[in-house]
Amino acid sequence: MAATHTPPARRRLTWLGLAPFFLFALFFIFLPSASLFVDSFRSPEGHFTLEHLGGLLQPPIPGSYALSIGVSAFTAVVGGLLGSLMAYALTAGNLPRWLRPLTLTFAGVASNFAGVPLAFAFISTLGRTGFVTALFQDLLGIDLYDAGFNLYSFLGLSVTYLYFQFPLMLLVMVPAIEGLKRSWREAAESLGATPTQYWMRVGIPILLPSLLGTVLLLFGNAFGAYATAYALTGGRLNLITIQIGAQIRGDVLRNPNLGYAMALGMVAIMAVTLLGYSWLQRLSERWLKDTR
Amino acid sequence: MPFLQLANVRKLYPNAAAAAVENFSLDVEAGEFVSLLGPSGCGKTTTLRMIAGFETLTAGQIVMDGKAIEEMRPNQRNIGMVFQSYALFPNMTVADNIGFGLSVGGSAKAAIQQRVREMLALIKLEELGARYPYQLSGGQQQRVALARALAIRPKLLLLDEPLSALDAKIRVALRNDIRAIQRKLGITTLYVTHDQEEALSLSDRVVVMNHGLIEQVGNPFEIYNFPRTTYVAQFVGTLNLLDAVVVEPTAGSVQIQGQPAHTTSLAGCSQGEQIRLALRPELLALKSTGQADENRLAGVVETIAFLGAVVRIQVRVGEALLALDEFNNPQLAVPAVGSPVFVYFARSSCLKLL
Repeated sequence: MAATHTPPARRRLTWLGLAPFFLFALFFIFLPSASLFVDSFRSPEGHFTLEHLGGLLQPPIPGSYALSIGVSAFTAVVGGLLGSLMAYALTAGNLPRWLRPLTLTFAGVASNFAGVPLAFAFISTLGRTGFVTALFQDLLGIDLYDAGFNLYSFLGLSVTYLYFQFPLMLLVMVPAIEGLKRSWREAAESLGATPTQYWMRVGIPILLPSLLGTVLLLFGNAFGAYATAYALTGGRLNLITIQIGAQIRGDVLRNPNLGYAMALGMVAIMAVTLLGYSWLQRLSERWLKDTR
Repeated sequence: MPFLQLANVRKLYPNAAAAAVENFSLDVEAGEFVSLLGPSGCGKTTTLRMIAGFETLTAGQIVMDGKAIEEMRPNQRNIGMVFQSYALFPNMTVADNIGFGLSVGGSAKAAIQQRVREMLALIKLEELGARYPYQLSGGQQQRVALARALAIRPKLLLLDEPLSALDAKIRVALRNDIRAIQRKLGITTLYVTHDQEEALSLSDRVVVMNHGLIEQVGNPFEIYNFPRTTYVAQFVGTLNLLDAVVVEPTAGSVQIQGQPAHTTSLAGCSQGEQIRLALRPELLALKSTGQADENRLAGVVETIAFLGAVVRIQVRVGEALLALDEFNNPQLAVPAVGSPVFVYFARSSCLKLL
């Protein structure tokens, strides 16, 4: 088949249409990343140094990375589990038809509801004098805080993050589960498989790359979060993003170059996460390529 | 007793105005290859899915090998099914796909490997056991799907339009393979298709369906040469339909577009009755003279189309347009468009339809 020939003038116009994206990427991704990379190896006097990278191994920075990874992994796994179960219920659970658009619209809004408003929403509901805390106290006689819950702790922050984590999982997993072909289930059944055998050997393995890929996406989503954690805990939890903010903003601590090195560490972790995500997506696409 | 019996099977989907399958009764003998033939929406796939257990029956009964199966779950029926969409599991290799049924059934690993080798040899894809479905062509994928369905030694094989997603050349090759494998294994087979050529070339018997009902059941020869209804006649092969008036029923004489003709199938007709006659294009001939007992209609050549091995000529006879086929050969004298001609056909080739 002959290749479609596009006139050069038209091709230039097509590239022009993409110009805003490239400009955006240049000014807000590539140039800041390059500056971050360079400044991580530069002393305040402007000389090359490895001191800031070495500083990443000094307390409390390793602990901050560990805490950020812990919160991100926890909310990614729990959010992934909750989102997947909800997606399954929504697609295969014979629920009323009106529930699906309603739930997906909510998930679309909730997955983008983060930062200071989310923090204050949780403070006013699950804070010490929050509405839900009071409901538990008044209706059930349970004092959540006496029972060990604290909104300004690892668990509290994780619960807050889950508000945007599981809806994101839901949004990604609904089409993935819908992509499971009915004929796969029927073929398995006609070959003698029980529903459990179908899910364990066909359904879940086919979904696994999408599932794990999205969990990695959730991990990255939580790992980079700053405003929610800062507004909620006010620096009581030493997440790496809060540490970077402290170093660059310099209220108490001030070592911007160390902050840049910490950010570089984050970029490295995010890069590994994204590579994993991309590999899993490719695996999923390859499996489904040209299979009817 | 037939191996498979469908008795008065009916399927009415919720909120549907009409039944998808109505009063469907069919007996299939062991080892027989039966095709369900009809257009989209005629109920053939629904019938197959009811046998497989993927659809429930609204009424009726299905008996296989002496047992009523309509209440059984699909995984208890021991019926192999091949889907139009192949339905290979994309996360498994070809060998794992073929061995899946035996594996979930708890067979020993060595037995599974042995059976997979046998099946790969049967479909002539011995070297491809380690490949994934995405690494195979459509034809290869459908062969694997067939091997997977046969690996469990099913009592009955169901094929739901297995060739319709493939291109023409592969379709013909694969349909011959399917028939050869079916004959070799002697497995009772039900085949759903909308392609009349496929149904006629493969089957011991063909069931022609229309709007959920059986129109006619017969062997390919009967279905093609003696269609009982206008629908069957039109659906299977190309057909000329001619309105005629009965002149003398006992003598078999009729008038077609004001010209006298005879047919051997006027039983039960009365004088002056309007009837419809069917004529296959290949049973008509353009000649200057014919035999005394042949019918002859005068007409004018309207179009000529070369279809490769066949030349299709359309002749205007009064208000009717008759298509006739001549085998192509370099010496064939093709009449000019607009020239007057005589169309000859045997009395017995002129069928009265219900």
